[in-house]
This record gives sequence, C-alpha cells and structure tokens, in this order.
Amino acid sequence: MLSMGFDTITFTILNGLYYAFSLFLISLGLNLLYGILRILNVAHGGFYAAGAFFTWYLMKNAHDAGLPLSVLFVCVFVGALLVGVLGMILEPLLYKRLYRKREEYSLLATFGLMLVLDDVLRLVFGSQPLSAGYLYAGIGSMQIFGRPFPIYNFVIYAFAIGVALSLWLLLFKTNLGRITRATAQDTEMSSALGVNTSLHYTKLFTLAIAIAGLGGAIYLPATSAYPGMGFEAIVLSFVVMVVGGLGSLKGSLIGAVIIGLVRAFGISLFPEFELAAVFAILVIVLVFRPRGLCGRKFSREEK
Amino acid sequence: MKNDTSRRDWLRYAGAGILGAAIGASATYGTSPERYAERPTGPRTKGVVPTAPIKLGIVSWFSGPSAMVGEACYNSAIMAADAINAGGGILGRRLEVIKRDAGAPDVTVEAVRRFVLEDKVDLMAGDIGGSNANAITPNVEQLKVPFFLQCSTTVKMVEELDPNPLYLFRSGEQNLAEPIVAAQIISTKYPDAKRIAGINPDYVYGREAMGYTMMALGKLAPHMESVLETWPPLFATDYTTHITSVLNSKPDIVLTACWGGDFVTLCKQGTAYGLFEKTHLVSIIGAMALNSLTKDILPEGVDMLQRDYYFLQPPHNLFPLNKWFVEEYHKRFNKYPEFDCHQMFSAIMAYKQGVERAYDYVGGWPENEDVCKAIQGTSVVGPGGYRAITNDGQFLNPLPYGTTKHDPNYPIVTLDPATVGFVPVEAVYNPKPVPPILKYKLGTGMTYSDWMDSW
Repeated sequence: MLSMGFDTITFTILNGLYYAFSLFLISLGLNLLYGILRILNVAHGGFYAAGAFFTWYLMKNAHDAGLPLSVLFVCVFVGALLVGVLGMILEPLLYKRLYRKREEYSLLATFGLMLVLDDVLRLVFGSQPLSAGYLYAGIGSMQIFGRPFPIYNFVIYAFAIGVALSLWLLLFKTNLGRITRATAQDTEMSSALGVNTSLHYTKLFTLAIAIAGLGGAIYLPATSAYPGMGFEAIVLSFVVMVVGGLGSLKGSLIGAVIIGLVRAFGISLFPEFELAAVFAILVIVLVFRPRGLCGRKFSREEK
Repeated sequence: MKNDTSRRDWLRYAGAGILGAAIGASATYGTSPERYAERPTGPRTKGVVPTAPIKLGIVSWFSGPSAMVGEACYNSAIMAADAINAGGGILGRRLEVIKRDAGAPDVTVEAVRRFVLEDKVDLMAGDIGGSNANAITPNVEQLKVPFFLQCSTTVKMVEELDPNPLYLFRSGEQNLAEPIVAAQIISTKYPDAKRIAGINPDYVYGREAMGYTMMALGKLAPHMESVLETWPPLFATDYTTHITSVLNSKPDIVLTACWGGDFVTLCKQGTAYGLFEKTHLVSIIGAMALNSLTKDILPEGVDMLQRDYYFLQPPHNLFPLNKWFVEEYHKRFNKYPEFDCHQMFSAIMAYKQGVERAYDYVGGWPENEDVCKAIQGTSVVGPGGYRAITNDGQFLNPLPYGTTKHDPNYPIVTLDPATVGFVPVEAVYNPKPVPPILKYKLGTGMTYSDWMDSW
C-alpha cells in the first residue's frame, strides 16, 4: 500500500465501494429474509438477474423510442418494481410454505427456483449477453486526479446509501418497522395482538425481493445481463452474509464494504490472489468470530 | 408333445439367429478396414443403406453464462442438417440433431457416454472448452464414435492425451494459434511498444493466452516486458479495479482474452475509465460476443482477432456460400454467425463427405472407423472458405483479424474492411523464417513450448 499514491488509493477505494454496493444490495435482502422469515433464499440471485433483464428490456425500448436519459433512469425503478411484483406472485406459491421452517427446506426449494428463474430468463431473453449502457455512457465521466471516472458510479453509491438509510428509517422509525421487529421476535404474540402476520410477511418479502431487483437494475447500465449472472452474484453475497453476520442488516453493509475494499486492494497489490483475498477474510471471520461481525450469538456460552 | 413343440420352436429361432448372424457377417465383412487393400477397383455392388435417420448429438453449454456458445453450435447444426436434408440427406438418410448440456468435465463426459450408449448417436460435435475436451478425449476414442470439437483450444489434448486421434476431430483453431497471431500483430503494428499488461480471465484459456503471447513476444519482440497481469474470475461483473491497476502500470498494449459478457462489461467500464484513450487494447477472443458488441460499448480502432471465422470474410460477393450462410443465419436467428457456427457447419459437411467417400470405398454403409479415416487428410468447404484437415483430424484455419469500425450498415461493431487480414496457417506456424525442421508439426513429439523455443 505504501507504494500506492494518494490518487491510486482514492481510485481503489471508489472501485471497491462500487463492487461492495452490488453485494450489499443483494445481501441486504438476503439478511432481511433470513433475519425475519428464517429463509435462506438462494433464488435471490435469480431476482437480481431478473432486475437486470427487465431493466434491459425497458431501457432498450425507451432508448430506441428516443426518450431522454431521465426516462431511462425511471426504467431502473420500474424494473425493480416489476421484480417486486414477481416476488409478490411467487410468495404465496412457494415461499409462504417455507417461513420459519428448517433451513434445509428453504435451501433446496429456493435453489430449485433459482434454476427455474435462470432458465426462464434465458428462454425469454436469449443467451447473448445483453447490454444497455446508454445511461452509463450518457452521464459521462468526470476527472479525478486527471483521470476519467464514471459519474454513474456516484449514482450507484447514492442509491445504495439511500436504500440503507430508508430501510433503517422504515425499520426503526415507522409503525411498520415496529410490527416487523415484533413479529421477528415472537410471531404468535404479534398475531394475538392483532397483527396480520401473513400480510405483513408478504410486504416484507416483496420489499426484500424488490431490493435485489434494484441491485440488478442499477448495475445493468455498467455491466451486462447474461444467463447465470445470478449464480455468480449469490456466492459472494453469501460470503458477505457470513462475514457480516446472518440476519444482520448492519452486517450486510459492513461485510460488503470490507469484502469490496479487500478485493479492490487485493487486485491492486497482489493481482494473483484476487479471489483468495476475499475468501481469506471469510476464513478469518469464521475462525475468530463464527457468528459474523454483527451477528447474534449462537448460544449463551459463546462470548 | 409339449416338449416336441418347444424343441421345434427352439430350432426355428436358432435357425433364424444363425441366418441373421450370417447376413450380418457378410455385411460387415466388406467394411472392415483390413479389406481396403484387397478390394478390387472398378464398379462395386452397393450395400444396403439403413433408412433410420443419422443422429448428431450436440454437447455444449445450453445454460449459464456460456449458453451463447451452445446456441451458436446448435443453431448452425440445425442449419447444416436442414441444408443436407433438403438435398436428400447423407446417402438418403436424414440428419437429426439432438442436444445435451455440458458442464464440468464429469458432466460433459457423462453427456458424451449417454449420447452413445442411450441415444445411439452416429456422430457428436460441440464447443465444450479446453478442460472438457481433455476429459472426453479418452472416452471418444474408446466409444468409437466421431466427435468434432469446435474451439476447445487445448495443447494438452494433442500433445499428451491423444497424439494419434482417430475418432476425435477439431474444426476449431489449431492449438493456441491466437497468442502467436496476437504477438505477430503487436510486434509488427506497434514496433515502439515496450510495456504490455493483461486483463485475462482466471482459468486455463486466459492463463495460456497470456502465457503463450508473452512467450511468443519474447521471440518476436524481446524488448517488450509484461508490466502487470491481472486475473479477474470468469464471468466477473466488475473490472474497474483491474482497469485502474492496469492504467497505473502505464502499458502501451493491453492484452485481453475476456469473452462473452465479460468482454462487454470490460469494454463498457474501460470506456468510462479512459482505457481506450491511453493504451491500445488487443482483444484475442472478444469477437465471441460479436452480436452484443454495440457501438456504444466498443470504440473504433481496437485490434480484434476473430479466431478462425469472421462473418464478412470471405467477402460475400466473392464467396456465395458465406453470403448464403450469413443471410440465412441472420434471417432465422436474428444474429450474425460467430466463429463456432462456421466450425460446426464445416464439421458436419466434413462428416457428410467422409460417409460418402467411405461408402464408395467399402461398398456399403461404412463403419465409424471407415468414416473417420475417410475424413483425415482431406479438405472441406465451409462458410469461411476451404479448410485442410490433417491426418490428426485437425482442421487448419487461417486467423482473420482487423481493427473495429462503426459501419452504419450494421447494428454491431464490425471490422474495418481496409484493415482485415488473414494470418494463413503457414504463417501462424512459421512466424519468421526458420529451418524447415523447426516448423511445428503435430504428432512429431515436439511440444508447443519446444517449438516456440526453437525460433
């Protein structure tokens, strides 16, 4: 790190955050689902991919119709919203049966759903990598230390921080949040007190899925949508989940930022060990703090 | 009485069996390879050709990020089958195409075995990548059903696993010709360049592409040094840190073997980070994503190798087969054919020729061994032109290359016709004058590394 100039360190941090926030947006929903509904949603990567594909379709058509960049920007939200709707449809069909069951059930069922989602997306959108970089290129690049840096990355930072903030507000400052925390602690008591837990779970589930869709949607302009992208995304998101602590929302932010920065500095300093650096963090956390940085204790004995 | 009947039945069945075996023996007698030399010349009586369709099994990726590869293979196989069937089939037998998904080497080997044992295919083909190709090699020779590999670049297969193949063919580029061509382009086009960096996917192909290019450059342009080699995983979505690191190392040339969605993302992020303004990008296999390379992603003037086929070459006005192929492919699949398509099409045509030639020779429907021997050492014509086939079953392909251009007639980035060139096979394997004995030749025990050392 000593050999890196200040400008390089800045760039590496910015690049690391860019990657970190993609992991954050996926693992946030994963943790939300696990923390409250006890579901390990492997299919989350599929919803992330669906966000990218839906947004590609919207953006491509909007761009071909000659609509301005601001409309393309709206496409990101519409894409995420469509994924939320998809989640709302799948919730009563599959997920409702898995709430608060043992993890093996949700692992198997959602893995199956992941395969189905991936194949359906390939069937509908084809197997070519799809790109809609209009927004990414349209906003352009700015100069940082005399080097170009895409302005769109700042849009991503703002989005991720915005999502984190609004979720925090939602969970800790609103009535909905109060109910959520109550049902997470004791479902039966909440129902007895008159909370429609079933409807409430549907809302939460839709939210978690829509955030994954937003992740896919917001990153689409800077990357491409291709079959199998969900699988690639989900593996490192689980790493983030474990590092940050299962079920912890704060943990997904901290875990994602750590993984993102370690990876970025790993690439800059030891390009041969890019993936190894990320998994080394996982090993260290599992050895010294198995519940993750912000996770709940597994048992009373554990310190 | 009962016993009597059953004995008579038994005799009847046995008689039928012996008769059947005799017919079978007489049919196979003529096709055994030892008979080649004994057969009299002149007109022969032709044996019976089965009426059941010929089954072609395509094994490639039909799911996951590489699904575009399987799609290209399958689409072009269907096109070849339709063309053959419209012309009356192969000796009157229709060609039928079925497919199985490839995966990791064990999955791919299983797909190959099931094709032969369950589906009873007559031939197989597909782009399965280098490590899968290494894995299936012993199985193909053991199962005795011809397999035509597309792409699947691996040096190990020909040097170690199967130095004298009979059933295995490869219609894709020979070994790793691309790194050598890349080195030739870099050393002739950028003689002043000194620093080279790499952004290559972290798997066999990416590692070998960078390694062999540096090895070749060590001979052709020894003043060049590799300043930084980065290894993003295959199917990465973020190249920003790699691009930043590479730009920090101030290279004159950046070499990349990224393909598919990886190349799309790399170019997109590279544009935003000024990669194309500060260095020359040389793409070894980015053309695999041909149909995804829109003009906002890839700027003009980027050096691209096209592996062994580029859809605008040979020019359509000079070579009607290519014109038909490109137009028909675009009409049916709304895409331009990638190099896998040419490779698949010419492989199937080579099989057709082989069957017909062997039939003439053995005087009946030939066995797989006869077909394979009748393909080796011949040549075939595909959309990309004429290809010689070595006695090792390797199709010899020239390598087209050029620099990118934004042609208003195409929705995708194309190569500037003024810059398109072919590195012919002879030049790929003889980049500067060397004594003939040092020319690379398959099957002589000389390894690829030895050969490059000998320049």
